[in-house]
Amino acid sequence: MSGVRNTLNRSTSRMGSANRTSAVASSFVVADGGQCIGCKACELACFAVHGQASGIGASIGTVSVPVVPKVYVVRAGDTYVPVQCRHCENAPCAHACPVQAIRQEDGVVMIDEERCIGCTSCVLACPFGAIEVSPVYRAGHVITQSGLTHRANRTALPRTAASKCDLCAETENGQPACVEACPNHVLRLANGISDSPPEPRREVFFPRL
Amino acid sequence: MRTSDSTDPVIHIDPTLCTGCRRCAGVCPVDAIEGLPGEPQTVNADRCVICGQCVQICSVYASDWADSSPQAAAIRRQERIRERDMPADIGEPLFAAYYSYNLIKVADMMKKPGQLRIVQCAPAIRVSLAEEFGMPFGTLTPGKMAAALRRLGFDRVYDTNFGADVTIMEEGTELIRRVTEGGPLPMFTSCCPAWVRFAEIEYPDLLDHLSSCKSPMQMVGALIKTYGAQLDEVEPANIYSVAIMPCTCKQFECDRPEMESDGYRDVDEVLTTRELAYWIKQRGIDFMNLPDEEFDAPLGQYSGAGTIFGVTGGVMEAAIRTGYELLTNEKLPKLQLDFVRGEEGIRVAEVQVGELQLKVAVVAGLQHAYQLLDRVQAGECDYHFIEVMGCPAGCISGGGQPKLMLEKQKSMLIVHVNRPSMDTMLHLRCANRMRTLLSSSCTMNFWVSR
Ligand code: SF4
Ligand code: SF4
Ligand code: SF4
Ligand code: SF4
Repeated sequence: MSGVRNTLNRSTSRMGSANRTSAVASSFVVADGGQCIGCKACELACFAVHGQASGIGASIGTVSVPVVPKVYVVRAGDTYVPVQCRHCENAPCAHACPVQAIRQEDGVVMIDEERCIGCTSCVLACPFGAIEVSPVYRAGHVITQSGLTHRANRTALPRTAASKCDLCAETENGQPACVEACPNHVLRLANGISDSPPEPRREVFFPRL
Repeated sequence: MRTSDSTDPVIHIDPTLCTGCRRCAGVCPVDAIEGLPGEPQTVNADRCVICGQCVQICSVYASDWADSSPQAAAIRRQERIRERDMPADIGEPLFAAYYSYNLIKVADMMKKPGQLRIVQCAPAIRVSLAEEFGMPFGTLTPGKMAAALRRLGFDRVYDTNFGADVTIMEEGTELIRRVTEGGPLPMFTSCCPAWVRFAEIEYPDLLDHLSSCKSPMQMVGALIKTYGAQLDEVEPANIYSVAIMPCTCKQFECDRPEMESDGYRDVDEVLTTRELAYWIKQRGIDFMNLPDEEFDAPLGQYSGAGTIFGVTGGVMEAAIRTGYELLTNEKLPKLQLDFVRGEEGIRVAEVQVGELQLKVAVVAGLQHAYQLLDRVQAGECDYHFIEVMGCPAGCISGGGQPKLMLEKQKSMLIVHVNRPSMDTMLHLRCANRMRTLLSSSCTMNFWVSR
């Protein structure tokens, strides 16, 4: 089992407590949208640091699985915007999750990938479009869902799970990898109390790149 | 199939992927990337010097989410792989900027019977190849590399370091000749094909300042089909000669019409570090657990001076030691040259060589070459010898080297370049011995006429 994503399984985890989201002020990565050039360096950096348990090293040559980041660069007309989780204080995604796979820990909203059933309820609930559901890879191979087979050819289908920004919870220096990697200094780590409130939901379709 | 004559643009940008971020334009030393921000870019092949820096920096990859379904994404991926002449089973992400691959062609040629398959490897490969298999930066794997190349079917595994030694001898001698007999000064190194192409495009009037020596790769190529053919008692026509290089421009160099002696190409085909890694993986060779094997002798032997060719200032340092020893018959007292002064990208030093105060400079990154060459053109440059490397940290940061995912790792990489102890180098003696050996056995073509 990968140790990287499952910070919730640490012995200190508040997993199981009734209070699913707390009032701890959250931090989150904000983007200066107009400045983004759409280079996807943030996506690649995100994937690089979260994939280390999957045998992903420094070079592209060590990557044998599709790139699945937790920040998503989208294009809206002429502008590029990196979309990331806001770590909402009263997280709608957590409320929507039927299996309590989403909780807030010290201001960071985390998804327990092991517990997630890939139902996409959180995807629909998130006002920012910060969550994607994607196949789960371990050690370079896709994890298949037992009992779930393709109807036509009876091949096993991949197990899917929700994935979104976890503020690089496991990195050493505490600086999210995307913030460090962005060549245009578009991204910064903001504090939930002093910074601007979350934007209202936008009814626009932003295609992923 | 794509031809690889000199009209092949080599460097490509996939318009269906490129987001127009123009980071590639930011690193291109010759403004060869054209297009509006936010629009797909194109490479102007007439300006491009094929350094591959754009390929290294491009971070826009083909995402599964951009397609309507995972199946559609998989089909699209196979199309792109075919378009790029990449091995079909490759697992890594595909980026907007890429270069022409030769691996399929080489793998096919290897199957041709009745030929002696010879390979040479540049010094920068052994410090970087391991990264493609997840080992830490700077892990040196010359032994595993030699073993892997034998398993890929090569009959002889030679080291480009040997050619680097010959280059040093020839270049050091040429420098002393120019200094004493009044040849065009400053003399420029000619090892880096991107730099040579740059000079041809941007400063054609300064071409006689370039050293007339071939690059180490071409020197070894020439040796393989002459001296090497004699050693193995085969016809040069029956030698298939491949070079593994850190550089996207080396294939262009080996395709140049002047890189042919007696009707034989010095080097038949070039593969990059990344292509070698693809090949090893494709053939299912367990690289990490290969035993260490030796390079073949005698063309695989070298003094050690060539190892520093892969870093900036390396050629310079080695050539000065040779020049110093030739001129004074003494050893250069302080073997590691310190380049103390200099502007960004250009470092300069002075060495007392006998009576002569030798002024030398090292340029890393072609964007820094302009101001220097303008000064040479204006007759205001009093250096004797200038090493120019096209890539920001020399060959170690070449366009064909492993592509790294994180920016900060790119700077770490340079720190990890292994510099062998200069004191243990016996290169002059060794190179002299080689020279005697070579000149007695056959005539070699080490020079290019420009
Ligand atoms: S995923 Fe969306 S809803 Fe959940 S905390 Fe992040 S921004 Fe809020
Ligand atoms: S790294 Fe910065 S500029 Fe590039 S896509 Fe991400 S946010 Fe935009
Ligand atoms: S080729 Fe790559 S780096 Fe250059 S503009 Fe296109 S996406 Fe950006
Ligand atoms: S290969 Fe080098 S010269 Fe050519 S477009 Fe890319 S960066 Fe510019």
